[in-house]
Amino acid sequence: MFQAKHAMLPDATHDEFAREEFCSTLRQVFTSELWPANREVYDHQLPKFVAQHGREPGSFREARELMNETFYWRGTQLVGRAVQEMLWDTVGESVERQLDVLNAKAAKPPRKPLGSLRLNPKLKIPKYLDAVDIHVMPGNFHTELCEGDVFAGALYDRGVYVFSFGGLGPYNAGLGTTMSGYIMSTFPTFRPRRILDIGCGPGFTTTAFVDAFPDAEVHALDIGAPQVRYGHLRAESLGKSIHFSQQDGTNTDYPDGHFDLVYSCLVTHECPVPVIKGIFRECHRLLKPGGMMIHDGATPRVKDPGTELMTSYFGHNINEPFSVGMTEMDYRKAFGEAGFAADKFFEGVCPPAYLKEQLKFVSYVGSFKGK
Amino acid sequence: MSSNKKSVLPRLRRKRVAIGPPRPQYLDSKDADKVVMMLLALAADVSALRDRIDTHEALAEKRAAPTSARVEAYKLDARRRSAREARRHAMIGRVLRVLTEEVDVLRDAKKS
Repeated sequence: MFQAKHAMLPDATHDEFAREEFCSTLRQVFTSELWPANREVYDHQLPKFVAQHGREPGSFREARELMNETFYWRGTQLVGRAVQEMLWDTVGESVERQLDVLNAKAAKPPRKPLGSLRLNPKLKIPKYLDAVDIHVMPGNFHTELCEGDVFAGALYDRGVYVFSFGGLGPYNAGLGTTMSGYIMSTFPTFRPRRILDIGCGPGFTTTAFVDAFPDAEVHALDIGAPQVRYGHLRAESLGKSIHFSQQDGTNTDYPDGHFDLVYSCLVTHECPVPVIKGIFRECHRLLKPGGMMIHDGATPRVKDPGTELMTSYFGHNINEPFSVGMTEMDYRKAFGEAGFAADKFFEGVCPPAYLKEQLKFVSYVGSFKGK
Repeated sequence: MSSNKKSVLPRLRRKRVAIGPPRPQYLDSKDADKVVMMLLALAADVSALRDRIDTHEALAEKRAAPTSARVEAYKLDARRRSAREARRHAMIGRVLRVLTEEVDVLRDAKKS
């Protein structure tokens, strides 16, 4: 399966494509073969620990120290980190080569747009976004290389496809399809008329909601101008009506009670806890009575240190410093503090759209605004 | 008895080790991570070269000379792409053999 073309998708020379394909294959080998086999190595190491201590490892740290004795554990983590850095560099080189062409395309507004784009050059970028490049993607989601720049949007759209070795589908829409599918099957009578995607990136999750709720007016925001600029033309090119704007999800300019559904996909685990709580509060303000807020939840904390170690890759290796805070979050309490009634809380799980070897399921948490 | 022939001494082999102070030690053990990263980047370029050869072969099968322009314009089909994918997979397996042998040994021990 090739990534589906649209007007903004970067092209690739013969060799750029070949190097991207190498990164995809190495990512796949890492995800499906190298990393899972650490469990076998761990089970092999266990008797050594038990013989020495008379018990199994009692903490994440002990489990990690035990595994650190093996070249396999150290080496697989290194391969994972190496390919993570390589994929952004490989895709980045290709996008940078054609950036003038992409930016020129973005500068031409579509003649009869289905959606819209609002930018805010005065928007203050919070400090935490400049403190760490999430996913070790240099420049993060918001850095602009010039005026009217789409670099970070193009990098993420193409990079995520390479990263997931196509596992999110030809339009990278997998996470949005899974979440909207969960909403439709769990709440079959829920029909949102106005929807907001918080932290939309290049909008590849948002398009899934346009497909799932074709009668709804769909809005999407991101703090990064390159994301929404790129996302706007990407959506237009794919014939999806989405209203993009550059905003901070904790403090938007929409009126109170403007939306029936506010959601985020893979956003909260990239945010410090105060920001996550700020998003929940903003969701409450933005929802109509009876409106729904939904976010992907954390992988539930496991008691077995060995299992915890096996699910710790992202948090410890590819710049996701905030994911621990999210894992430890008490959602019921946080939703309550944001104004949601305790009895409206819901959580659920469904099979993952991708990374099936690393994640047993994906989880959702949400609430309805009480009447 | 005399001979006009000069006696030929056997030729010396060229020296391959220079006399002098011992070779400086440049890398630190913590540099090993970076060396592996450089090696994997090189593997990506080797793999890209292999794909380029495959494109040449595909063009040759169509009796087209593999000019730069034809290589760039070549449209990869799904069958050929999955063959490349399998070859890359095998190549990565060879490059990472020293890493995966720890697991291979465990699995072999389990079987026997």
